[in-house]
Amino acid sequence: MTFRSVVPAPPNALVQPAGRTLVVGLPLLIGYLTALALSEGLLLVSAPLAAGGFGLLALAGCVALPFTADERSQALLPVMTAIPVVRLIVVAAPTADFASIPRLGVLALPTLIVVTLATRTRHSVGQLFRLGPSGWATQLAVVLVAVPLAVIVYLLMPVTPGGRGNLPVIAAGIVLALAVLPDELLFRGLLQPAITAVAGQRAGLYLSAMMYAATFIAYASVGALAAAFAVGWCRQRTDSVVGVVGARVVLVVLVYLAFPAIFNG
Amino acid sequence: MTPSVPPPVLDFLRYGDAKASMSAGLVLLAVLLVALTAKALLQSASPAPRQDAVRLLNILAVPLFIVFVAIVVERFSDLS
Repeated sequence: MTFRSVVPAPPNALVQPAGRTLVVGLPLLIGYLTALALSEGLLLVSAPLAAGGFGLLALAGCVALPFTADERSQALLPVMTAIPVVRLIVVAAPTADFASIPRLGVLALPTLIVVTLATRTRHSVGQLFRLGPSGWATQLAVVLVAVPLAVIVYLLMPVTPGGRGNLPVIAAGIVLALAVLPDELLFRGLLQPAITAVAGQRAGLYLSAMMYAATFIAYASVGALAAAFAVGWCRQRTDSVVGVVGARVVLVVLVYLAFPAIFNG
Repeated sequence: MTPSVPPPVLDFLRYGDAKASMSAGLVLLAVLLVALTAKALLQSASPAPRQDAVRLLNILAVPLFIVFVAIVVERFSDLS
């Protein structure tokens, strides 16, 4: 016969450190944005230095968690950790032998795992893909906005054909869809609502867009900030990530596969 | 205006570069080791660790381990 205590232990009574005072607010988020941008800037000087910056930033997120005092900060930290991990993977993965689209495919698997693990700290993955109050018609409208946007992007930055290497067109399309999925889920699906919960709607939109644009600093892509604001605004209005994910997939498939084939024969 | 970024850097960013990727791979290995050590220490700690801290370390350890394996496989395929 076994005996069990009838007095339940108070939850977390033994494991809560006394000095849990860290609250992620606007100053800390701006500091994080600066550190992320500096690490991205280091890519122009040295890839290992930039990798070190991303690694330190990711580890800082882990170190900070035990000191966080509120639920909203604890929800934000996994996302703030996931972003530099994704960037570290992009810099360190052995993809030198691949053409640009197959390279994205190689990077898609570990980055999808990062996003899945970051999501599962707080939600189920299915919750991310709910349609929101606006319904499927609004989400479809957001997806279709990507068509004129893709024309503008292609006219401003035409993509040279041959990026898909030896991949068949359908496989290249699937790879492109898988490659943009983690980006959108991370920045629009997880980061934007988490910052909104901590610092308000305006900060959620602006800071998540700036963090997304910061990951393009070394690529000298001036349109990233404008694109991030546009999709971030759509995400905020529709309260769902489904439309913006669809829009990004349509945009990259048109810009990287369809338009080069149409305009270059 | 076109930003004046040195072409080799952009080449690395767009298509990857074996040498730079190898050095960055060493940094990845260091971060992976720190994450795994921290996780091992947390799990052996008494009282039981907070589950969210262990989950957060998984965000680092699992994908970095996959990339580490990919780096090792790639180096072996280079040797053969």
